[in-house]
Amino acid sequence: MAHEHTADAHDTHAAHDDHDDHDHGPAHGWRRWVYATNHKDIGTMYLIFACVMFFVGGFMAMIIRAELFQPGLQLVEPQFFNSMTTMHALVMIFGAVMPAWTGLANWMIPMQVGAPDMALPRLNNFSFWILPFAFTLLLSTLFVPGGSPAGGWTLYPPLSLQGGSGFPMAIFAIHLMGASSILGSINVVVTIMNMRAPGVGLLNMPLFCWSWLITAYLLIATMPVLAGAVTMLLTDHFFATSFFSASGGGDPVMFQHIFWFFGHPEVYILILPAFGIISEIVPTFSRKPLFGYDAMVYATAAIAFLSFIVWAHHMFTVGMPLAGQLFFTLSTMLISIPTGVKVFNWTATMWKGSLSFEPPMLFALAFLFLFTIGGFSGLMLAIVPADFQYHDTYFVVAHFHYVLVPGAVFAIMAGTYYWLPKWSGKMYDMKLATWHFWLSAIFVNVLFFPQHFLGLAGMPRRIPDYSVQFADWNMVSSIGAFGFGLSQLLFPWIIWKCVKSGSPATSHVWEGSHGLEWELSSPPPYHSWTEHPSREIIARGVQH
Amino acid sequence: MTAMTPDEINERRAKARRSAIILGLVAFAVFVASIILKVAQR
Repeated sequence: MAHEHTADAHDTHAAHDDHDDHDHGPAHGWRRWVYATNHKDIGTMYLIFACVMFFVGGFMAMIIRAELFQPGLQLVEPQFFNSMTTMHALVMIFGAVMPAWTGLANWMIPMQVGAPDMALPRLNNFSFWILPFAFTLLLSTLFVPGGSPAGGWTLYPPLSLQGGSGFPMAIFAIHLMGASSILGSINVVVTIMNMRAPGVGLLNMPLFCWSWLITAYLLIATMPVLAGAVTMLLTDHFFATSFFSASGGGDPVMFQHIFWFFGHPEVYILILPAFGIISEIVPTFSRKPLFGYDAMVYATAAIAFLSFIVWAHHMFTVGMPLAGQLFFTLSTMLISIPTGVKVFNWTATMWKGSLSFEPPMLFALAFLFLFTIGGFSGLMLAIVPADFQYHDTYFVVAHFHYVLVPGAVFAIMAGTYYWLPKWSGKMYDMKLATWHFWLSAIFVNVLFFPQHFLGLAGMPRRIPDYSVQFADWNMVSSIGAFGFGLSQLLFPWIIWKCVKSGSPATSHVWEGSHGLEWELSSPPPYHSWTEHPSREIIARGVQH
Repeated sequence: MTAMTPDEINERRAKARRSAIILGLVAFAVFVASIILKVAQR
């Protein structure tokens, strides 16, 4: 085995034992979680919340794919089907992927920058505890007259304004999620800017911190725009304003501009932390420093900047001047340059490395191949005449699911398998995790690859029924969905088994691991760095 | 390794609080600006 979960060669956590008496440890019972101010406890709650929401959103996806298993209406009413597509998106984006990133940020950022905790622990508690209320509110729309929102997660008026009692509840839930994200992001920014240990400079901190710093700025700049858009929807519905109502002189297309000015940076909010994690994992399992650290930082910043000037590529079919079409096509294509720099650097990191293929590396490699497929189909969608053909078809569904599932979700799993032994102090069942990987990697392609064919053949998205010529690939896609859904049950089981009965892990866990988090014991002390790490320890952890 | 004094941590957290308030105000300004933009467009 290439990892060294039983060896103790690099174990330096003895150095921290002498300050354990400063460690007052967690409170007991429910108070530990409700009053939590510790970054690890809050990180754990975020991750558990994200996992629960992943299965709630996944269950909705199963309903969608079961209905689409064959043509005709089988299982659910069309209105409920549309609710499922809308809620699946909202739950997965705001309930699963974003809280998972915040959970990983909470766990890792203080440990990686040499801080005892996040800068503002009580704000951290508040950011998390908003979420269960937001999602209770959102999910309870399923049980009110008119059902939950069914006009798509983009909430385009005038359709979204025709919703029932669930409409204002969903909007308030979105406000709460936005507040949670903004507060969490502020905490990340001020932690990285103020809490770094002496010697941990901006340009030698881990790329996960860098990618999260940039993501946090994106969140602070764009979540209020979403809040503004949905507030105007609310006043249009209840207070007789006409922001987006054409009959009152308003402009529904302006909603789309405002929504996508938030929506496109949101895509990068979901994927930039993934880039950070892959940049941590690939060097570890290649046993080489990351190729082009500075270029990676600048590429991440460039992607974040460009994400603000591409939004109207979601709206080509709405109609816009030729100059607008050209601008948004070209600005969208420009994003492939910094993204290409990243893919090149990860590949160059592996070049002539001493590779080994433990579960985190397997997920990272799948990310590399499959995220790139999602990137390429994105380039196809950026071409205006082609987009006129692809728009609102399953090709778009295939594109963004390739970016988000083997992209963001696989990166979350890679990160969990990478750091789980550090968090728990125990090693998980590598064989079972490898099974989890292969089943996920195979079924995710069976699930989403045929959707490219369906889209190119003209199958529209967000419909419960379809013409018979789409039957075969829909059946294949649904079989892939059931296989993918079932194989995900392994994930919480592996984590549970690890925490309950895993063998002890060393502080460094992986042979090639480097960085401040690996200098702490496994599991780390309750307050991560109560002493500044020495220059030698910092130098040992620097990747480049 | 040098121990972090409570004063040092408090000082850093005070700085962090000031930055957090500024970032919060920026977020609120963006929220208001998005609505003003729409009103101005009419």
